Amino acid sequence: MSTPSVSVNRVLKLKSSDGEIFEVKQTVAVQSGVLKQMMEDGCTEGEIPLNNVDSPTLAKIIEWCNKHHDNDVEGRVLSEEREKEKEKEKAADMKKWESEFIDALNRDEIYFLLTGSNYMDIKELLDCAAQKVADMVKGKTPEAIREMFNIQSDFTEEEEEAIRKENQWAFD
Amino acid sequence: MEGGGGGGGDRLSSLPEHIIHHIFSFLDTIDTVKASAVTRKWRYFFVSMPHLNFESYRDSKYKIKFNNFVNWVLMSQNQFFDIQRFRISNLCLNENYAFYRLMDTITEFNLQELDLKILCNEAIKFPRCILNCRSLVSLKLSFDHYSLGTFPGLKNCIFPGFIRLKSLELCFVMFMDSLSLANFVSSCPYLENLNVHECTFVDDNIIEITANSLKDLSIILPQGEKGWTNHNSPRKIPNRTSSCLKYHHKIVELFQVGDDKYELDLVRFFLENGYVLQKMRISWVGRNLWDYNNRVYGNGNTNKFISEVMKFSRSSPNIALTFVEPEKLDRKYMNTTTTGDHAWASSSGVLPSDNSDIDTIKVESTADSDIDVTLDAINTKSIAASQGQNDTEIQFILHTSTNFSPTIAGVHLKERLKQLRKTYGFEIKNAVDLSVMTASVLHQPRFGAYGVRRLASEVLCRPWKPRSLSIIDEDWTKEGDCKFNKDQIECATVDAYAAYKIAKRLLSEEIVPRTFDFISL
Repeated sequence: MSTPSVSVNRVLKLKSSDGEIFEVKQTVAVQSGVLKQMMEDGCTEGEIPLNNVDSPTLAKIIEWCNKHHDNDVEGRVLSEEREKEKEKEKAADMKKWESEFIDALNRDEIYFLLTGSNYMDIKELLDCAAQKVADMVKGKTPEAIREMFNIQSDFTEEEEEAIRKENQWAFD
Repeated sequence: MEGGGGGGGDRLSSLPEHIIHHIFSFLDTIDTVKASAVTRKWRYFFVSMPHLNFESYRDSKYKIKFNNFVNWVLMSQNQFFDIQRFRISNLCLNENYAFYRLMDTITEFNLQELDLKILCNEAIKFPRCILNCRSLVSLKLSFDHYSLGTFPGLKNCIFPGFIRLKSLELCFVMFMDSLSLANFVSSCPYLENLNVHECTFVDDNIIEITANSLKDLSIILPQGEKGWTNHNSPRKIPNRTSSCLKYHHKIVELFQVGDDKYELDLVRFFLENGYVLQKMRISWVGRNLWDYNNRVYGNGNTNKFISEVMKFSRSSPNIALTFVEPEKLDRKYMNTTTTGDHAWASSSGVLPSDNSDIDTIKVESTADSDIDVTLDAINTKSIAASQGQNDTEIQFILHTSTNFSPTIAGVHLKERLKQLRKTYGFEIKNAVDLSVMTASVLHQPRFGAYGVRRLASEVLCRPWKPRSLSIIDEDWTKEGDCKFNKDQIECATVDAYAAYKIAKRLLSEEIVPRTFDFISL
């Protein structure tokens, strides 16, 4: 579907760490604090190297941004008082989409999404991924957390005992 | 940095420290304490978390242990970090004096947000130590549904006020007298949001709120007989001199407004006195147990309630009034309509015809699950035809059910009908100009200038989605083969449907007097 009204839509070229080029509309890219800053500084000509983000992760990040951008456009059409109404309606759909998006990822992908969104400064995505990890950790014993994330304990047995004694309530 | 194959090992713990810290900020405090025993790197995260979330056990026998835990966490906190948010749910306060002492320490952390859900099986006193948290920006106190906490009068204590407080939420709090709330609120000069949910007063029911910078007020009226401690004294109307309504009070929400006239008066009060109100949301609820003498409407008569409220005069020039479906109301009254409705849009030219290239579009009706209008899909055909210049287009509703002279309703109809007659020789006898009619009947001159969707939002009190930008910019008047694309048809159909709904609402509910002079054409 063509959108003739939007002609100022410049495209940024993002280069992932493994050399792949992604094209992103400027209006979408503003969700990244880093890219926004670059746009303001006027240094977005040519390819923008994102050395800490590989192409599968960057694809995911762009998918996220595109989805959240769609909502923004509709929001802008609405008058101020209607905006909140609309937001509420949309929020439920968006929540669903977000949880499906994040649930489809394996732990490695979440890890890279966390570092990637942190690097690109996309707060909402970072929060969403962090919430996902937090949900995984929630209510688990230290042993279960270690097993889940394949972490080796670096405490001696005595130290660990001391920590548990320090606060019995938390470990009961 | 490559995606690396499976069994990535220590990956989570190798995240940069600030990201782990961020992840932990989504966890309850008990989980961050547990995590301290996972690895050395995580050992002391819990002493510098900006948010502390505790959940107590409902069983009061754990209260000492729980107090100790909270105390221990607070004692371990790094004093150089502020605690931004402190939240406890299911806090047992029965004879829990230790907790009051504990709350004293929290004032040292420059706390900004305090959120307590207090549980108790007898009426308890509000913990006064909270009044000492001068740094608070947001305070949320919620008592248990079954036993109201009492708010102490402020007469005998020195309350300096929360000088930074912006948001106050009180649920199931019982005030000893209405002055407690009034005084409390007026001691917070920067308060912007006030939520008073199912709170009651012991002596009288006057809701009087004077805050210097209040913008957003939400009241959920107590429901059922339990909420009312004094059936004898009716709810009184606030003092009219309140200046916040005049200058900065923008949003009012009144939920569970009942069918007695005192509560209706409250709605009227805000409409009449809110000079700068931008938005008002109301939900209505029928109370079975309530005093029949004061009852204005029968049970479940939501339409009547809505039209009554629509008649109140309004002081604010641009208020958006929304009626929210009460969640608790019997579902069978809701959503009875419109899901199966179809609106018909002619895909070419103006005249509706029975030819095959009529496109059928289902009208999205989630946003207007009206209680009142039952649209009979067989008898009613909404026919939308679009033709005009720039964003002017003509909408008709053919109401085929009333014999065969259809009533056509639309906004700014006069010009459009002229144009139609001139261009196509199409004569229409029964026309209702919704712009003129709504402006005059609802005493809102500004309605005359609204587009059909905005008008529908106002009249039907449900938000209608505005046209999308791309549609507005499109040229509708292309000569030659007059094929509209799917978006244009959808746009026209929704417009037509909106006009239909407005007309139906106004004409069928006798909001428009029978004698109303429809424009003659």
